[in-house]
Amino acid sequence: MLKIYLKTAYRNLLKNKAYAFVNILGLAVGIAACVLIGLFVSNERSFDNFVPNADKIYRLTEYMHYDGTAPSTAAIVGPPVAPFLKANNNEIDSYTRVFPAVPLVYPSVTMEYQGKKIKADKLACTDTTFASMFNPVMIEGERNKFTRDQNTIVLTASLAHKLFGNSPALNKTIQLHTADTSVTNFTVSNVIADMPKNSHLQIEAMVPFPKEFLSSFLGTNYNVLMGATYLKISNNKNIGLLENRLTKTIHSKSKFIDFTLQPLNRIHTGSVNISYDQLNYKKIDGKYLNIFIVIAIAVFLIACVNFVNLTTAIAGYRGKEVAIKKIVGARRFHVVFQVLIETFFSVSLSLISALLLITIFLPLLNKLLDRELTSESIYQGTMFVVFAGILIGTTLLAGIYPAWFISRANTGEALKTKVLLGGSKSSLRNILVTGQFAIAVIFMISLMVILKQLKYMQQRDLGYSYNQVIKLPMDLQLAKKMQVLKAEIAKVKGVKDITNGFMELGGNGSIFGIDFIAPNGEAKKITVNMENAGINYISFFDMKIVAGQAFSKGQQNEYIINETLAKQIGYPNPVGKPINITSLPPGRIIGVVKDFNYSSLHKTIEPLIIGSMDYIPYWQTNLYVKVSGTNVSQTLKDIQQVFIAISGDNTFEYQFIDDHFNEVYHSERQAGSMIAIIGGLAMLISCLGLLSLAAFVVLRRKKEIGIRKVLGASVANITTLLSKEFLILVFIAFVIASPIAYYFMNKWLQGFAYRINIQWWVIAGAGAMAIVIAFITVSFQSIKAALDNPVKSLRSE
Amino acid sequence: MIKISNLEKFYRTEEVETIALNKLSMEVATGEFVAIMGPSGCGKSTLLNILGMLDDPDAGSYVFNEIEVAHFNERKRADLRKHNIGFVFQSFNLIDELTVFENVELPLIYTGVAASERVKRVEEVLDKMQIMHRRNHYPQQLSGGQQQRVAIARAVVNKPKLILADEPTGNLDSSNGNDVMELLTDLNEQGTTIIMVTHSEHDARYSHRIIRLLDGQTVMENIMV
Repeated sequence: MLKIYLKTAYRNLLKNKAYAFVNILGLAVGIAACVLIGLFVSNERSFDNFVPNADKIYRLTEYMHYDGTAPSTAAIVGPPVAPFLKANNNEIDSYTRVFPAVPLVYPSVTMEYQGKKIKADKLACTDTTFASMFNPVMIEGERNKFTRDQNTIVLTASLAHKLFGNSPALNKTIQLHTADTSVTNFTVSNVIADMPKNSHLQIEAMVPFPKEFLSSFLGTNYNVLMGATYLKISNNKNIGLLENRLTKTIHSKSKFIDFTLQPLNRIHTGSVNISYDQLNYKKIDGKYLNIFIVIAIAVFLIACVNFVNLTTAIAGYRGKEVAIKKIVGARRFHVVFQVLIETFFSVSLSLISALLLITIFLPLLNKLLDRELTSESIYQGTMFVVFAGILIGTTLLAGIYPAWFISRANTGEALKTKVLLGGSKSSLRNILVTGQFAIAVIFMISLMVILKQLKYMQQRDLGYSYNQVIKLPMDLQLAKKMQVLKAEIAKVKGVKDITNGFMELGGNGSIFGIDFIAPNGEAKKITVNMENAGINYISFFDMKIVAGQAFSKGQQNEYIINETLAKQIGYPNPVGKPINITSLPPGRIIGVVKDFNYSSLHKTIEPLIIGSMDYIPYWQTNLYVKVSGTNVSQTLKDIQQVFIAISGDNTFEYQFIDDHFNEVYHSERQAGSMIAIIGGLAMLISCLGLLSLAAFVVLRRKKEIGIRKVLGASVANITTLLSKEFLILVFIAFVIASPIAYYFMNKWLQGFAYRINIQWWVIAGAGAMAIVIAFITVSFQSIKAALDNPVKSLRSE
Repeated sequence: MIKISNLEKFYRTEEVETIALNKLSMEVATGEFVAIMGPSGCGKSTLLNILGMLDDPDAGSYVFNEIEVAHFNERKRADLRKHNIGFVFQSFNLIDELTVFENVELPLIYTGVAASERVKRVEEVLDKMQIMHRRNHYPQQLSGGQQQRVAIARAVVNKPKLILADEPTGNLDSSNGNDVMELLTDLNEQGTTIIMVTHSEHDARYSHRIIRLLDGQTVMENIMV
């Protein structure tokens, strides 16, 4: 019995080759898209779950609300905070600080072993408790010696391999060059396995906090933003209450800080709104993960709907077969079973094709989303359960309706007409097609809005110009040689101008305290963002001075402020008024620069003070070089040569600021690409479905078309007649989709301080596009039918 | 074998009610070969559908083998049908996706006959119909006459007591038509009751009795000699 079912299934597929192909491919694409997105999302959700007792570990985040400035959040705190909190709150079992060692503990670090030098960017200072809290896999050394003694170092396996090759690393001594001249010997105390790829902490080496650092100005500062601090809390029943207690505790040291506790497994997906965040490897906006899940389900549903529609449409022409089977003794369940077997057969083929598609497109997805997912993860035990679920679920989802539909056919009737499709019977199909197109239209509108917003962000006048500007990061040693470097690079052919700065353009800014005298005579302290700029900074970036003047020479006591800060200070003309950065000598305001978007367009412009203090190398982290548009690669090569000659280091990194801004809007871009691809797929699958459905409708109305033609209908008449039926559905889909898309896109746009308005024509345009695409699709079939010789169709009836 | 009395069947569309069978009564004895004739729309096919339990009457009684089946549900009708009745159609109604062998095998599958027994019986009946050599062909590859033989083979493979034939020669030329009528006559002589709807006076002459219908009623019965 089963054999004959499978045989019939196979032959039915062969008989409707084209439709079967569309049907199976459509579902395969749906399944593949769904699984790929699922893989990605589950990878993101798996971050830090491998840590034992992950639910008891929290990262300390602080909410800073200094007087007179916009509050902001930071996931990094000062060095003394953790020990202070633990001493005063016995709910805290233990704490671990993981602070980047460069640049605040050490200005820079290069490791050396027997002449082999490695720059250590991912070096962290941490506490011994790291070993018990994050439970790294020990390869060499004892757990209790983990960053216990001064001048010991923990290496990851791959860094140890780079330094020592295959020989053991334990107790070997390496040199750490921590500044120009100072060299310290460190002994390897432990080698641990590399941090798992789904750990938010991607560090290569760990050292204890140097004693002298912990007693320094920074090391004892509660307000400074320095590094991540993790707390282990066994009794985590009432975290809100604990947060209040911690806040109360810290208020005795600093009343501008409130604490919240971020669960360990939320760090990767829940840190987008934290302005100051460190060591958070490839963090992602959890909101987009949810959107991706919705997209995956939507695409899968579209594919399923297609499958149901096509199966039902094909089944509709199997009236004769079903009738005969019933006459010779088949019961209804026989027919149902047969349809389910056939569906199962097709779904299996889809699943196999989907696996193929996944293998092909996984690298593309990795590139798009900057991940390292492997197809091995598809063939794990749990995934087999998922695939079995998809197989059975889809079979039932897509098979039950057609099965029910064709098995209930009246035998005598079906035998006579051979077609099971009736007017009212296709209403479910109409609903499905409408739903399918509604989803596709939502994608299209969303995509257009996202693209417009991205374009807007790229083209918006930020108040400064960075066209053809490259950024060269400098470390402390290089910053000390900055004047020579600038002079030499300026000589390179193709270099138009050069300047330097401290702040990360497009980043969050760096906050500093300033004090000034308010117009009412009151001495005020606020925190603002600070830039330490080259003398020509203002002209280099084409910024506009609205009052006073730009820098004429590098000085420690002259500042330019932006309009926002000028407004906050309160003088009608602040030029000449005294102002100073806390802990620096007193200074005065020499000019006001027109507001420019130094941060990303997610944020409004915040107060900014610009100094030009060339005597502080700490505050010279970026060199900006403006190059002419011709022969850029040669210019870059020449710059590299000069750079390496002066730095004495082989590393030369540069980045066009344009590219840098692309990175700033990375998650928007990612979401945009995802929606473009998935939306395109959704539209494609929907159209494939429409194409086949149109073919079946044409078949159903063949006789009618023939009669109409005999009676004098033109090709245009017939085409319109046939297309109308579908276009009405697509139009209804558009009416349903547009408010939904409008609502969600508006919500998405709220995340940008500077954003476009969704204009009516964006929505109308997307709708028109959907209708045109649908029309072209249906036209293929309807024009063909209209051109057919009517005698043929009438005779065949 | 069959006794129907006052059988009624209506077809309703939104506005019109058509009477297909109007208090029709008739009897067919076991072993009889009955032809039903009449103009298009007289209710022949409706009658055949009801006799074949593909459709149920709106009123009246239908006793099959001393069982009242007029009010049987579909499942009971299907059970009774598959063990007792074979169908032969004008347009053969073979399943295009199945081979000759598989088409004939189908009724045996649904009555739960074991696979080895099925092969034996299908081969036996194909042999009898002289289309054994075409067993692996698909219906489209056969001539009309051959297709109708396959259809008859399928109708008789379950050894039904009754064969209902709906214009079995309608799509055939006269030579193939005669062959089919000979086959039916043979079956009848071996004891199978046959009820055949036909337009052809020539075919009707193979039967024992002709029932003529008009507007859903019996208008005349001819006993053939």
